[in-house]
Amino acid sequence: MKKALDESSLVLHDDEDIEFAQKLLDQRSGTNANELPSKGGAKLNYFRGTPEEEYRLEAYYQSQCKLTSAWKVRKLANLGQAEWRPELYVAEVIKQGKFMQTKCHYHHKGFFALYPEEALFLLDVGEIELTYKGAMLSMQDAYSLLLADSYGSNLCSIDEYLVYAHLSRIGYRVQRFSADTTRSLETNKSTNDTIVAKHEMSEDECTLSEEKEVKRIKLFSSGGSSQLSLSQIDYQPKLLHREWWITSAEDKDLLNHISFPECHHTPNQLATFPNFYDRKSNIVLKQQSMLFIPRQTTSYDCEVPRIWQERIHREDSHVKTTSRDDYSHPRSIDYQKLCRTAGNWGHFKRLVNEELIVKSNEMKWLHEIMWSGLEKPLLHCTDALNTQAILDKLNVCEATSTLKHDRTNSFVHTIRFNVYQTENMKAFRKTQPGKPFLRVVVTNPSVPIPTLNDITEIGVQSDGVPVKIAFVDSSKVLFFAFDSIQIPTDIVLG
Amino acid sequence: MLNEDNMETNQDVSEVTIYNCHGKILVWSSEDVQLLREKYRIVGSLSGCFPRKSRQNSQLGIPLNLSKIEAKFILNFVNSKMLDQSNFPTDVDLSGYKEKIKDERLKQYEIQKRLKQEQKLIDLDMMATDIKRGKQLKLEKQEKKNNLTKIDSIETSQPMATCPNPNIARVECKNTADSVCSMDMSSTAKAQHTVVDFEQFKLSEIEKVERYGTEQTWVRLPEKSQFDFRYPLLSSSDIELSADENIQYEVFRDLHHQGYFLTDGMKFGGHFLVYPGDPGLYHSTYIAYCVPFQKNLSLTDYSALGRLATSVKKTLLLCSLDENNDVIYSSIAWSGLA
Repeated sequence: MKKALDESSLVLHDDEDIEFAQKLLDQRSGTNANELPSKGGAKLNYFRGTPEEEYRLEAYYQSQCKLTSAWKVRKLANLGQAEWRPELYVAEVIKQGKFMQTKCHYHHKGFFALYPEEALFLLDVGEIELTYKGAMLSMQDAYSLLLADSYGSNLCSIDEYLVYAHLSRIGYRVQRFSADTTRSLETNKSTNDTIVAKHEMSEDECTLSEEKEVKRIKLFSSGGSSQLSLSQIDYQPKLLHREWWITSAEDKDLLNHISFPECHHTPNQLATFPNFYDRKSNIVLKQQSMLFIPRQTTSYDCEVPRIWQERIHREDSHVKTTSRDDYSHPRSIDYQKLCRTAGNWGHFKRLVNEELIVKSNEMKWLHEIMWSGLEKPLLHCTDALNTQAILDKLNVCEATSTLKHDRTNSFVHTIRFNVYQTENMKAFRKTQPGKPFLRVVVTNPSVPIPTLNDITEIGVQSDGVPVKIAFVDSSKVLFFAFDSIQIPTDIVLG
Repeated sequence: MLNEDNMETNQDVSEVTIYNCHGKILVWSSEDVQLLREKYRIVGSLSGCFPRKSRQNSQLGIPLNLSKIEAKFILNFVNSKMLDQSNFPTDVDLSGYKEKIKDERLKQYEIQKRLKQEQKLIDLDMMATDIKRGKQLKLEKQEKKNNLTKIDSIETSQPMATCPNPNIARVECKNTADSVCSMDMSSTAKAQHTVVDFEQFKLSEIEKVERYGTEQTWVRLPEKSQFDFRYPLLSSSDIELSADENIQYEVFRDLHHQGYFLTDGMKFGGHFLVYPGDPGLYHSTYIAYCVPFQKNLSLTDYSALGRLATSVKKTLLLCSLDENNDVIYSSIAWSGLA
């Protein structure tokens, strides 16, 4: 039997290949060789140069040699695959690996993606093979391609990666620092889309879903509470089975052409809605529908160092804005007073008209003065659109905010990572990550030590979660924290 | 104490290649890592995942991180070169690599399949006697079980009531016993037959090895780049040291030439930890703290440094450069008067 095997294809291959294959099989994971070697006993305090020491040293070097020359051998079936997309600063997941589900996120371009530090860590651990233009990257290539020189870029600095890897290796779940709300939204999308991606709809499933939709239409029509004017609805059969939150590139282009200077909505916020009437397609509102979007709602990047400004924005969404016409509105008339003075209905109507004329004249006069440019009030009425605008105009924001202070210098001392506890300590869900266990700031010897002002800022950003400062010197990571303590007061009894 | 190595003359030893990657100095070859440690007493610190057991921090793997001072020392005193890998050569033609790797993996699958089958054969041959015995026992058990059921069926089909003469019954029982014996004989014959079929069994086992296809191939994830030839060469002068780092470099050089091993001393509040032998085998004896020669240290500084060193059973070395660029060492010891 053995002879039969020997005579088969093995002889066709080079000795080098056979040797390589044998080494792969010897070094594969899951064998007994995976155990970490012992440290070689207690360390010695003094160098004496005895033969015993030399023997121990030789044995130590041999074990170290084995460790450093160990190969990273993995089974192809367990490996995931990701393609590096330099223009997006993420790696696109092409094939999900066996152990990498906890890392990826849903990218707005419509695929699962890995941040550079995640991709690099998975490559280092040996759970994915990273490709660039289809070619497999080595660890060294990935360091060149995925990492950046400095902090704050879309890529990850080498120090940040070292901190990320240090924490991830011991089981912490590490994510890029972001506000909790946005994170959960992002992951919500991803979970929904996972279902779609994993179970591609076959024709039968299509019909099933159509049946469900018919039921929903019946329910909708039987309710009869609100009827859409169907004439204003544009049907787009191209969008068959598309998820309602996805916006196509054409839609975005369409939106960009609309001249609507006062509307600050980003193109991403345009949504197609599920079509409850026609079961064949989704619907997209016409261009004119943009007019229905409130003018004063502003969109802004959720940049965390501006957390106070964000809060102001949030409050602004509830602020009623007043326009120029509001002052002469009939609401401002004291109807009760007129009612008491009026003898009959005709008299009352006449009095109201007179009051309206007086009011409008009065307001016209006021407006003329205000808009003439001769008067220079502290705050012009056109500036009073929202609280942020008022604060900006009055320079109040400048005076009260410590966050804007010297941001360029203190940029390196911003929080980089949210760290969640290991699975054993606390169950973690990507959809509801909750408050992190701690947050991490990354620093190194070339950066000045964070000042007290920096630490205060970081404390504000952290929102009550403990912050650790990770100090990376060459490759070792040290963590330290500034904690405020209260000195205890001793009370002498008796 | 180890003797001082005359490193300038070690030009015949293979060249060590170090890489500048976004401001960090890395070593990607395991041979270079060993050479640096065993021959040149440069320790550095590993920062990658250990390949066989990735999710732990006690034992790390390639790459080896070097401090700027270590890198400068290597470039000055070791047969070495430094390449800049900060920018990946994006213009390199990668089209051929994909197909090449695919072919190699297919080839590896074939070889690995054969090797696994060979290993399986060896394992089967080693356990042949056990397997044969086990199979025989199993078969005998099966046969016995079948016979018992047959006897039961005979007894139930010929109840005692139908044969009133006990002698006849005894004879019949004897007959059935004979038949059992004959069945036993046949079972042993069958067992022998299974022994003959062992070769067939081996064949079926070998076929099982390749039942999952090419996805079962073991592959190596490489650490080192194939594009070394595209990375630009850097010199020792490209590593810029500040004034403080210059003092550290001189101290490093001097202590290293005295035969010591030096590692990063951040965790003990100094610049270097000084070991009399390999750090894997010996405790460090000194904490080297580098200060400019003219700098005034306050009494609290001395107190803090001295307290730290004594509490960890080490000696504090205050290292400075004098006007002649010679390294001056001084130390602090607690002295108490009784």
